[in-house]
Amino acid sequence: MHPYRINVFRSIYRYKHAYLFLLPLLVLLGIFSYYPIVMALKMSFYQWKGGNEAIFIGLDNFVALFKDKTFYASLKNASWFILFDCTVGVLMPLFIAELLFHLKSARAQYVFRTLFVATITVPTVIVILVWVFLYNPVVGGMNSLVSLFGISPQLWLGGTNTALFSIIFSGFPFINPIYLLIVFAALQAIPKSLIEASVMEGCGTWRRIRSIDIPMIAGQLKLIFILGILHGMQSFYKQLIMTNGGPGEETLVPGLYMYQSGFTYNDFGYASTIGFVMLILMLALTFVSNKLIKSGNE
Amino acid sequence: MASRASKKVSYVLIGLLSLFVLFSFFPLLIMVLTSFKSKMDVSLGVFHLPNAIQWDNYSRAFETVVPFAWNSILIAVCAVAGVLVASSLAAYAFARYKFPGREILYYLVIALMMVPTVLVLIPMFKLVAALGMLNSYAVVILPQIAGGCIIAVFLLRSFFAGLPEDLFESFRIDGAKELRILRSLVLPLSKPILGTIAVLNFHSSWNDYIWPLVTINDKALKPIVTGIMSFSNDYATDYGPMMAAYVLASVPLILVISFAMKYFVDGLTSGAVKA
Amino acid sequence: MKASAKSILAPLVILGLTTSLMSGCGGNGNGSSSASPSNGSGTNGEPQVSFKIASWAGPGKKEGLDLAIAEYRKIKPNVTIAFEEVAQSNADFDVWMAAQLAGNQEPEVVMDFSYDNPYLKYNDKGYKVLEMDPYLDKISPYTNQKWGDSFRDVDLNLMRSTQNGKLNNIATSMITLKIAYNKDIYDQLGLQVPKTFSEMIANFDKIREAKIGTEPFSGFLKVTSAWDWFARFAAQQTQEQYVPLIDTLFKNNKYQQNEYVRAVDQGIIDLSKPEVRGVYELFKQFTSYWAPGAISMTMTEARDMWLQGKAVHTFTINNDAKPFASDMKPSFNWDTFEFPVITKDIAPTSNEDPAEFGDLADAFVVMPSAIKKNIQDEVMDFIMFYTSPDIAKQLAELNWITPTITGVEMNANLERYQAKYRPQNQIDLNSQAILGSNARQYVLQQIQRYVLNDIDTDQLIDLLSKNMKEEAQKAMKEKGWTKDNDYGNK
Repeated sequence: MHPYRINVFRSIYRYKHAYLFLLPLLVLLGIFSYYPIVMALKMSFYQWKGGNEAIFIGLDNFVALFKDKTFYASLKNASWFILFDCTVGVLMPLFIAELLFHLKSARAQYVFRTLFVATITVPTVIVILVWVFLYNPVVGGMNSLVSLFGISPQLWLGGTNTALFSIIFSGFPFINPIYLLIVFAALQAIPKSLIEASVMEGCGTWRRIRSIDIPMIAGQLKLIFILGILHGMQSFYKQLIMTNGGPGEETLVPGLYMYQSGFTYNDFGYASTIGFVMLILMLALTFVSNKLIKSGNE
Repeated sequence: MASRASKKVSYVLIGLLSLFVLFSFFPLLIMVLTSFKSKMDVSLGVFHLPNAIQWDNYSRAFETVVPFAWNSILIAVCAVAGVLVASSLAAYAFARYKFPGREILYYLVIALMMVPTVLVLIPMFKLVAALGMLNSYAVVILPQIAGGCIIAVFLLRSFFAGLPEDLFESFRIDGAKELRILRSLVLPLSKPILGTIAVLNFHSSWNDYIWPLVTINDKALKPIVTGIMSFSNDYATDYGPMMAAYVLASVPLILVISFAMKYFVDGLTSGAVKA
Repeated sequence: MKASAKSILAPLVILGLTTSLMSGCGGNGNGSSSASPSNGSGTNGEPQVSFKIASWAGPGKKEGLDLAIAEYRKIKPNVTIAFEEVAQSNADFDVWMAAQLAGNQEPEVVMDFSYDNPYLKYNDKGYKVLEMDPYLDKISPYTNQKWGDSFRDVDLNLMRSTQNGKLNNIATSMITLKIAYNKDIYDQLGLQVPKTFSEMIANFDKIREAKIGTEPFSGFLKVTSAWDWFARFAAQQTQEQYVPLIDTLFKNNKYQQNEYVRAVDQGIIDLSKPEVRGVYELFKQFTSYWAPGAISMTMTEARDMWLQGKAVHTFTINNDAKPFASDMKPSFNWDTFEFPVITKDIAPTSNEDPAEFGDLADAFVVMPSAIKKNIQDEVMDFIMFYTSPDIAKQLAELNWITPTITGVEMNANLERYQAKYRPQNQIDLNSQAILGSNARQYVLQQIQRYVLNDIDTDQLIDLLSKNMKEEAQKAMKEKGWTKDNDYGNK
């Protein structure tokens, strides 16, 4: 046998522990993730209405998607959500984490940290219900609130120019508890010596944050940045419930378009195509962000 | 002098943080407020205070939610346990061994994060129907474990990779088997991350709605979300009891979080989870 | 807890998984959704038959079906029927049903929407639904007449699919639509109940001028319903002359999808013609009096706004009768009026002869693929029982519904919802519903922009014409219709 092949076999045997450890995960993922996904993606090459008949049409779906103005509109809308999730969605947890970090009392830290984690118990449905009510131009509180700032009554979810940002704003105060935990844990991991050194040198707080904190936790920030991209691209539940993509196509996002193509328009093949393209886009965005943002290791 | 200034800073910090906590919990407060309202009160507006406290809402919610609570608890516990076991084993393998195919397999696993779930609903249903798994706990638990493992492996691997090598040296010298190292050394250090993962997965399992809806028809096996949604239909939604049901359903979730938070308090040694 | 936790976890997981798998296996056998009739015979020697009916939750739905099932069991004890509300909303039901069909787990019968819905949801995907036309001629054992005679022809026509002309479902209740109004405010402002569209608009104007803090109308435009109703209602007055122009292939005084596509292809349907364009303009005028934010409101929200006294008028359907008399009672005096007549001065082609403003609901759809043994007749027998005058009357009293069965007295509580015009037909050149959900949704989206003044009437007509022609071409391509084969008729 070729010596290289013997080496490969030997190393596989040497690492048999690794493969054994991986087995449960791979079996589970293979059955419940990969198989359905491959089946679903395969369907993007078919005209499939969700039933038992599927006609192979090659790249027709992709060509149609390429020409589809609605899809481009949905991508444009998604880019707003992604932009917001990646900027405010990263800055707010950072801001709160820094505030927590600067608390002198460990007990206060514990209390507030627990409280922020507990915000995960707020069901999304409730958030949507409350905001839909607030945004109602007649009975909701939003118009009364903004009139205090001299802004005239708006249509919010029902208005062309306001619908998208109304949905984005319903995430107020934009503090994702898990992101917060990750960033806060990272801040706590910064060696105390570095911080003490900066205080000795008379560094102001703002300067310290910029030159020490952020570079040290850049890895975590990159992580939640990428998670923000994925979330912004995929999520559509709020858009589905609050406006169903309307008015017109103002709040249509690719995830919602995919859902509608499948379950409203009976075109599951096309829905798979949209999913396929979304997947490619997310891979590309993740890859690019990974390369562009320098990790703290360097 | 310095301490008085820092005391003022502390108050400002606490004030600011309290404000943000309030904003974050605001919908929850509305939820609790609404759970005490009658139908008439609900129609008068979200901020309107109830004329009389409707305890009846809670008894109605109790009847519809409690029968399903056990199902949800069982499902969530099994899902969390499954995720913790499978993902810590796999993440350890990814982090500590340079085996052939490591990078490819890892990125294949991570890439699953980018697949929209709605896409796979129908093919996955076809699969489980063909496997004869419908109307069981397994049909809900196993996909939840599969889904939860993806980000768990991601978080755990970077954590494990960040653990200093010398910690392992002492154990290795003793000739300890790998599983033992994982169990006695690595996992205790990873409690905070494991706690986070447990909370995340318990939460997502608890709120899983569509998948149990299509796969479980047997009333005895349905999860708690079903009981909550029973107060709403196309025509109208009975918000009072529904909010009460949400409050009741939040209780186990809050218990799990407080339990998991203890794991965080034990401190972090390296606590580095990077991308 | 630390090291030992791990040792507990592993066996716990294994235990949990095995018990769940076992309980799953146990529960799977007989509890699975597609119940096949067992072979044992009943006490009277007749074979046991069982089937399942699935639907989504609605007020009174479960009570009604449980009543009918219990009564049926008395006369046919060998038939076991299970009714399950598998989802709370029709959207969730659609997802559930799509999954069940894909996995061959569908129930034998569903209670779904009528009209084109069974075709779009099932036939279009390649699944078969039972065509009930042959059963119309069978003698129903519960009326001793032909089953088809229990229904009005005009309703049966509406239940038929416009895609293939077959009776894919049988609707069991009728929904009448009215406009509810706040009588107290009418008295306060001295308004009269309007008979014509112009009078109604004049009332709206007076309400606006009075500035009493209420909107004239609370409407909803997040889904197509309100727009569909308006389009159909207006078209019955202003576009009826088109029916013979479109009904060229079957000549049965109504038209099907291929006839419509032919009319589009040949340019007979032209959205810029005043009688078609006029409907869009009238709708715009109507919606200009709606409470702001209607684009993102559902019917429930619109109704709640009216109940709170924030709007003077709203759409109401007979499903509202019971709630409005009990736990959702308006705090003011109220009544209803029919959608007003569109007079010639605002629409020159109007025949000023409005038809009923209505809808069909609670339709049985039978899935033959789920019926393992040939119990089709038994299933239809239950449906015939359900639609017999006796049961229909009981259901009408229980749920305050209007059955589609003729000869059943109207429930006294539904006086405000009594149909006062001639039976409706389906003429509608504006919503493009007949071309499928894609076309229909597109129209809704453009109407939303039109109502918000993002586009004007000319732009709207442009966009909709283009889309209508595209969708017609798509249908022709998909179904192989050409001019030569008479659009599928040869």
